[in-house]
Amino acid sequence: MDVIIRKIKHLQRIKPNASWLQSQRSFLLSEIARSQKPIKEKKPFLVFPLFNFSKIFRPAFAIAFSVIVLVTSLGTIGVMNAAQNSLPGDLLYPVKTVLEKTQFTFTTDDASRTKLSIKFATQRMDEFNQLIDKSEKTEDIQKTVKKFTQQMVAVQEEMNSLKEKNAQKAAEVAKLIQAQTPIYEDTLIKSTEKLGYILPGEKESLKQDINQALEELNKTKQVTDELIGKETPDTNNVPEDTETTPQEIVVPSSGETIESQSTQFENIQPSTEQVDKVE
Amino acid sequence: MADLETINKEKELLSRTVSGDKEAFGQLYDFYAPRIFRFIRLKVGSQTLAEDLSSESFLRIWEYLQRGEREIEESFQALLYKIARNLIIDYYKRKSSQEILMDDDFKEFLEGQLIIDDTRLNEDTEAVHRALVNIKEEYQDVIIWYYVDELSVPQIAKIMDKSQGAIRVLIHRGLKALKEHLEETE
Repeated sequence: MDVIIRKIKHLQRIKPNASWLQSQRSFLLSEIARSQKPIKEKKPFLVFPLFNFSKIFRPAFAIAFSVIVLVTSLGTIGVMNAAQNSLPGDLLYPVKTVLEKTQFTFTTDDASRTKLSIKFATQRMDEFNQLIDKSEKTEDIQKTVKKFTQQMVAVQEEMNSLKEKNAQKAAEVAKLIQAQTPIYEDTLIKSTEKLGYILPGEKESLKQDINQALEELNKTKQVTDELIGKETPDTNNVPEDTETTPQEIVVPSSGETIESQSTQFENIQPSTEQVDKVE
Repeated sequence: MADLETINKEKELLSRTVSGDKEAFGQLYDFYAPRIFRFIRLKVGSQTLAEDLSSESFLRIWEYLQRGEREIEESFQALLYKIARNLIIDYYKRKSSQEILMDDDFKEFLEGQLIIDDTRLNEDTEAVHRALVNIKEEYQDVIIWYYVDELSVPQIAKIMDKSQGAIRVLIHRGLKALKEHLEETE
């Protein structure tokens, strides 16, 4: 029997052709991708011509159609509103980010793009502030901080681009940013006090991300300060809020008692109202 | 097979596949495609047919997993082998086994891919294959799964929806039937 088993085992050497295996994989994945598309339900367009068109214009049809349109629109608006209030990790959060990206893509004016970038940064801060107390959301907190950092880098790039095209406009936008930066700084610094529930390893990693965010925030402040400083002698019209001197950002190390340096903004939390202000 | 199971990778890939992750499905394909091809190749007469049925098996399992009507309780492996087995049965229903044997290009296939100068080895492999396709369908399956694919008895029991005891009996009888066919031809 052992001899037979050994002979059967020879069959293990049977293998498919390697190139077939590879091409088959590509074919299979492309077939799958193709089969996934009909899920979007484009059928009604195909079915539509089968209707008797005269029926569509009957009052009953017209009312039914209007109701459907109304319900669908309200539903969509409802989803979009719900998405706006969603937090990272929520089901509708990807909708929120897609809406933001779409909004940004369709904004061509440099000043508006910069304002949008700062608006999104404020939203990230708002989300961060809401998530910080939730121990189960550690991963999302970290992602939000990273997204805020990316947003800060975007703001700097937008500002530099705007500065080259229209220095005066850039200075105006810089003032708006300058009003927001202390709030961000305050939120980030204070957040480290609330991290007691996070595991030590995760805490360190999150603190590094917060420090990184503070670093980028500092750079943004430098850019705005420089712009406002440049603009002041030309316009000779310095608004009150530009008198705020750039504050040095102190990144608290672990174990250190955290005392916010931006005490004047102690009670200010980013909120949707502030987002509106930026707009 | 064991390495996939020990790291629980298959479960994770299966759950990702169920939620529509094509890349996860691609990884399952990479792991199972050579085995499923071999299983089908040993049971059908032509290389092209084996390739077609292997491909069809993967498409069918993807469709099955995407239906989302029920909870997937079986392993990906068990599902895939069941699908491949049903496809082969359907094929056999359409074509007589005599036709299948007449079309068999297994010898050419062996010559194309095995060690060319080891004639004895090729002859042995061909003889085993000839004997294998002449025994009962159930025996063929358990012999391939147990000795070639090296699945465990519980794994085969899952694929065949039979008790482990019944599988042990099938393996024993299958081996005996194979031995008789080999002796006849020698």
